[in-house]
Formats: sequence, structure tokens, C-alpha cells
Amino acid sequence: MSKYSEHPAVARTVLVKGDTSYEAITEIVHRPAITKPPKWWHIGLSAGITGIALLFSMIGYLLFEGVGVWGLNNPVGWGYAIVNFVFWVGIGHAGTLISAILFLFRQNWRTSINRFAEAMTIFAVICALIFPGIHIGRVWAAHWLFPIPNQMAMWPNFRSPLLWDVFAVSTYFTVSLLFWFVGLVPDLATFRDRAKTKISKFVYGIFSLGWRGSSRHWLHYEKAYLLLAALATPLVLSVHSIVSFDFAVSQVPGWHTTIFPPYFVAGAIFSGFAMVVTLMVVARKLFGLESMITDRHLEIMNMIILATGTMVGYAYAMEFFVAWYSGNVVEQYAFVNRAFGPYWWAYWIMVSCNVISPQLFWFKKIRTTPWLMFVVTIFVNIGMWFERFVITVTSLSRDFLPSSWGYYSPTWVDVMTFVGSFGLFFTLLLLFMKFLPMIAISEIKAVLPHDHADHETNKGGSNE
Amino acid sequence: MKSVEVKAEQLSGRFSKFTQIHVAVAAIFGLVSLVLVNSQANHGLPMYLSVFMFFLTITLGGLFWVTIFHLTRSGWSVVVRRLFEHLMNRVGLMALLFIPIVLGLHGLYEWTHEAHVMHDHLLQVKAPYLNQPFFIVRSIVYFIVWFVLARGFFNDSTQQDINGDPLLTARSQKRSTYGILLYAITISFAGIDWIMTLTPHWYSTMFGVYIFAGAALSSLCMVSLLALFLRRNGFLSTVISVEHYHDLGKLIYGFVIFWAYIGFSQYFLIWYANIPEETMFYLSRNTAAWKAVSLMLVFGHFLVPFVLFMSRHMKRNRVIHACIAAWILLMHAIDMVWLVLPTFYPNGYMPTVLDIAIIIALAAAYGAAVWKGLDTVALFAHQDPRVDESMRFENV
Repeated sequence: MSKYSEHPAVARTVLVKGDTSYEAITEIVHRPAITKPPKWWHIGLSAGITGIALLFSMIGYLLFEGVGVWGLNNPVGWGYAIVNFVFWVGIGHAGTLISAILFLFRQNWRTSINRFAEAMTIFAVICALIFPGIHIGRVWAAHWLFPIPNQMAMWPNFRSPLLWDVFAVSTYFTVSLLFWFVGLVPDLATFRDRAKTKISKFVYGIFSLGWRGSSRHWLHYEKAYLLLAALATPLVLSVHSIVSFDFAVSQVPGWHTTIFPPYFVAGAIFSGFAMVVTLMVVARKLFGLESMITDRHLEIMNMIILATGTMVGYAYAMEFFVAWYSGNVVEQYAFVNRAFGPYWWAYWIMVSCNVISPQLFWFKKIRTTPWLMFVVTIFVNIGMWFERFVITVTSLSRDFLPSSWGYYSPTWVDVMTFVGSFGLFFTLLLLFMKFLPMIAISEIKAVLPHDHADHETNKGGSNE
Repeated sequence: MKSVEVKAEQLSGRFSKFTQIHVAVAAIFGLVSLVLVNSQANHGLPMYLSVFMFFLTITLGGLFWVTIFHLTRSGWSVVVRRLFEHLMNRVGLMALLFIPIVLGLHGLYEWTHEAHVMHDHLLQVKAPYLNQPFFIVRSIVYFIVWFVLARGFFNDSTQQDINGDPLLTARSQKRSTYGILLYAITISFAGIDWIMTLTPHWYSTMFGVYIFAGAALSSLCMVSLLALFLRRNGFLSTVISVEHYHDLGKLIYGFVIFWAYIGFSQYFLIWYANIPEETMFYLSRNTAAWKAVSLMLVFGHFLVPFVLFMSRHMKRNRVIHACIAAWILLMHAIDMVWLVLPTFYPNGYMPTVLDIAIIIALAAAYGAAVWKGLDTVALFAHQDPRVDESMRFENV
């Protein structure tokens, strides 16, 4: 055997630091559920609920007045609502990637962050689902989005990617929720057993499905988890591919380009990871989880942000190159217009946030310093919103008929609806942090250093 | 602590005769090709380009996997990495084999015909990119990048066989970071330059990714086959275990799907928008005799391995594993033919004696180089600091 396997240049790092007894880990993760929430939590929750109130009053106003309260015009028929939809769905990609793909790739470091990322995924998809729902105009007929047999023999257009979106996103939501819930069951049982009040014991008891931790339970659990991981893996690719089809099947220059599906998927993972890091940096500090979500965890996530951000940069560059190479004047114009037309500011915000800012993660100092990575990931979040804005609006505002060219500006209703959706997102997140285990207790216990004392090379995977 | 015994393995000339046969076959069929090139109306260049791309993608796939193993600090793959390194190390041979393409530019690329370009507005517009000097300069740059990366990885790895220095691993890991960037750019543009510009009016932003998907997949299959062949002859049988075949199988399976995903996305978006300047690429491949080949790719390159290779049992059964890997390599060869030939022969094509001679010559030359390479160094990275981890790993 190699005498150098423990050499600092190649040694595997320990995934959990500090007190690594089973008891201590359960204690840390369970603490928020039985202690009185701190002040910042109440303030955050009130702000979140205010956001929800804002969101729903904007929706109410929209339903009362009609879509005219938005900034949409002719030719820009897709504005904030679609941008926000794609933005939120994109953020909802980190969870499944971490739980499914990283699971299949045996990336054990995921055990510290998967629960949180999955929860965030579900909340982001909930926010996303609102926007197409209220965009359809006649909200009371929203169920017509689904192919429900009816006496008028009227069906949605099966050839439209918008319909595939309905299937793709709802499948994604269902599978993500199931995956999250299955993973939660053993931990919910822990919460049930440690509950202090009758009510919480009852509620956790119901959701832990009678889990007693017998080996038969574990056997079924592991099987279910593996199967759901395999089922969720194609979904990571399919959802955002189909979202990209919404644009790319058209003939609109700037929308119709063949690299769109993988480019959208890379962008979604990019934005999802950025959001996870943004939230994680804060959450681990507030709840004292640094022993389990170590700097190394954040560093690896930042490296994934760097990788996917560079893929997005590749796609931007390839689009530009091929537009030039194609010799097609319309195609060329669409891209020149993006960078130097009336929306130049949005384009350059997008490029600097999405392509340039993640490159800062080449520096170890930046990808391991919490406040620095917080700043970078905020930029990425902003950049990925602007990416969808640039794609949606610049191409539409200069469509095939120069006589109908226009400029799109959002109204205050557009902006407030978007702001309100953050209220919904953060409310759900704060409730999750209070009442549910933020870290997968049973999974992280499997990667503790002392569990592998006899197995020195398989210390739980992560590496320096 | 369980400890495993790591013993270096070497071919030590076991396949030297085999290698000599490869060299002889390559020489004979190379000569036959040279003789036939001038005596036949068909100059064989399109087939040459297809076969060249087949071996180039396998080589570049090797480079990709070595880079990604270092980038992700992969542990399980240490014992199979040397085989990928041998594929990657064939960049020099591929550069040599590129010379006939440079000499035959005129017979392959429509945009090199000045008389033709004069009557084609679009090609005049594209002349700043599509001109011979720039094309050749770009090609040289690609080969230099690949050669430098491959040499660096190979030297570090084989030097470690001698001294076991973990800093060599650290250096390769460092190289893999900028290496993957250079790799992504060069393979994309090589694919665009050498294949996409065969139909110079046509363009697709996905094209580079499509070439990459084939490269990653085919090199995995080639390594599986190589390892299984070595195993049959008594090498590496205690080193590369069923667990490694299982993992290779999982990656093959994943990349079968990835290839299909990329291929489908490209086809589907062009089909749906139905713009003539884009559909022309698929039109020539979906009509006449080529339609059968297109369908063969859909079924053979995707559906058959997708169904057959799904189960754990199939990936861990060595015979089935080898059959499926060989099948996918065949499909990859057909894919490369499908990319090149319909442009030249829109009504279908029957390979000539020259084509067959070219296929045999290139395959034998590549085989000889691989066997020669295998013989010169140890069969696996037995001094890699993570070699125990790799040998001990199990799929649970």
C-alpha cells in the first residue's frame, strides 16, 4: 500500500468537526425545535408574512383589474412573470442535484447540506408555480392547463412546450417532495421521541409513519431512497430542458438555439447552488452548525458554482460565436442588440454577475471566507435573474416587424409581486428551520470520522 | 485496518508479437490505401475523416476522464486511470494521422474552393473564419493543447510509479483545473472546424457538446474492453474488480443517456422550428438510405443499451459488459460515419475496398500504438496515494 495516503496533499478531510458523538449531533440539530425561537426569527417571520400579504394583495389586484396592470405590451408579451418563474424553478434545482446526482456519485459531503437544499428546492418551486398560474389571464380556468376529460372534448395543445412544462414541473415538485419526505422520516421519529409537548409528539408521530428504526425499516428506507434518487436524476435535467424548450422551439432569434437545454440546466444548478450558499452561510452561523456545515462544505459548493458558472459562460460565448459564424444577419442582430441595444445594462449586469463574479472562486481565500462567498453568491443570484430577463425581453422587444418594436418596463405591480414571492419563500424557510431537522441526522451519522476508524480511506469522501 | 497488497503489474513484452502484427497490418493496409487512392475515382477522404474522428474522440475521451478524475480527486478510479492515460497519450499519433486531412482539405471542405466561394455570398461572409491558413493554425493549436495536457498527466503519473510522490498527484490536480477549460474550448472548436464546416452553411450551438458526448462515452467503452481483454490474459485480475466494472458500467449508462439527450435536443429544436437553413443537415440524413442509419442510431446507440444496461446484474457480468461496450463502440463508429458521409453522398453509400483498407489501417495503427504504450509502463498506477482506496472500494 502507498505510504503517502495520509500525506496532506492528498488526504481526505474530515466531514464533521468538533464533538462528533451521536448525542451531540442530535442535540444540535434538535435544539431549535424545542427552544424558544430567537428574536431575529420573529422579525424575519413577520417580514416574510408581510411579503406574503404583499404577494397576495398584488395577485388580488391583478385578478380584479386584469393583466393590464403589468408592464406587458405588444410585442413583449412575456415579462416579469415568466422571468420570475424561470428564476425560481432554476433555484429549485440545487436540492435534487445534491440529493440525487451527488448521491449516485457517492459524494458523502452532501449529507450536511442535502436536507436544507431539498427544502429550499420545494419552497422555490412553490414560488415558481404561482407565476404561470396567474399569467394565464383567466385564473378561474387554471385547471384547463391539465388534460382533464370534459364534455366539450377540449384539450390543451399537446404539441406545446408550455403544456410539457405543466407535466415537468408538477412531476418535479411531486418527486422532490417525496424524496424530501422519505429522507425526513427517520429524523421525524427522532423529533417525536424527543418531543416535549403532547401536540408536537402527536404531529411528529403522524409524519414519522410509525418509524421504530428496525432493520426492516432501514432496509425499505434505503431501497426507497435509492429508487427515488434514480428517478429524480433525469428530472434534474428534464425540467429545465423543457423550460428552455418554451423559448428554443420558437423561431425567435436569441431564443432558438440548440444549446439551450444543457445551458439552462447548467444555469439552474448554478443559481440553485448560489442560493444554497447564500442561505447556508447565514443559517449555519445563526444556528451554530459550523461543526457540521464546515468551511470545506461551502468551499466545495463554491467550486461547483465556479464550474457551472463557467459552463454558462461557455454557452454565452458559443451563442455569440455561432451567431457570428452563421452569417445570418437576423441572428447576429439579436446578439448585438442584447449587448449594445436598449437593454445593454441588463446584459452587462448578467455577464458581470454570472461569468465574471464566480471566477473569483479560483482564489481559495474567497471561496473559503464566508462573507466573501456571501457577496459573490448574491451577485450570482442577481445575475441569474437578469439572464432570464435578457433572454425573455430583449428578443421579444425587437421582433420580426421593426414597426412594432417597443421597450418593456415593469410596473410597480410587477416589482411588488416579485418582492412578495420572496416573502413566501422566506416564510416557508423560517418555518422549516424552526420545526424540522435542518441537517439529515441519520445520514450525517454515517459519515462521522469514528464510524470509519477501521476504514481509513473511506472517511466520508471529501478531499483536499 | 484492512490492508491490501498492491503489486505492480507489467505486460513485459507479453503482447509484443501481437503489437508487431498490428504494425504490419497497419503498414500493409496503409500502402494498399495509398495505391488505391490514385487508382479509384473515389478518394476515400470522407471515410478517412470518419475513422479519424472515431479514434480522435476515443483519445480525447481518455484525456477528459483523466482530467475529471484529478479534478474531482476521485478515489475509485485510480486502478483504471492508467488505461485512460494510454488512450489520452495517442494524441501524437492522431496529430500524425491528421496530415492526410490537411493534404486533402480540398477534397473535404467546400469552403476551400475559391471558385465556389465566389458564387456563394454566405461563404464570402464566413471567409474570415473559414480559410485555409486560419483553419490549419487552429488545428495546430488544438493538438498542442492536447499534447501538452496529455504529456503532463502521463509524465506525472508514470513518474509516480517510481517514487510515489504525492505532490505529483497534487500537481496533476492543479493541471486539471485549467486543463478542463482548455479541453472544453478545444474539443468544441475542433468538432466545429473538422465536422460542422463540412456543411458550411449549417450551424448549431450544440455541436461541440455532441462531439464531447461521443468522446466521453466511447473512451469508457474502450477502457472497459481493454481491461476485460487484459483480464482474460491474466493481467489486473486482482486489481480491477467487479466493482470497478460496475462503476464503469454506470458511467457508460449515464453517458448513453447524455449522448441521447444532447442528440435529441439538437434534432428536436431544429425539427420543431423547421427553418430551412438548419433543417438541411437532418434532411440529408433523414431521407434516402441514410434514414435507416439515423434510426439505427436512435435504437442502437440509445434504446438498446438504455434497456439492456439498466440492471446492476448486466453491468457486473463481464461477458455482457464486454458485449454492450463493443456494441456501443460500433454505434459510435456509425455515428461518426453518419456525421460525415451524408454530406458527400446524399443518396446513400456503399463502402469501397479503399474505405475498408483505410478502416483496417487506422485501427491497426491505433491498436499498435496502444499496445506499445501499455508495454512501456506499469499497467496501473500502483504508487498512487489513493490506490488502496481504489482497490478496496465496494458498491454498497
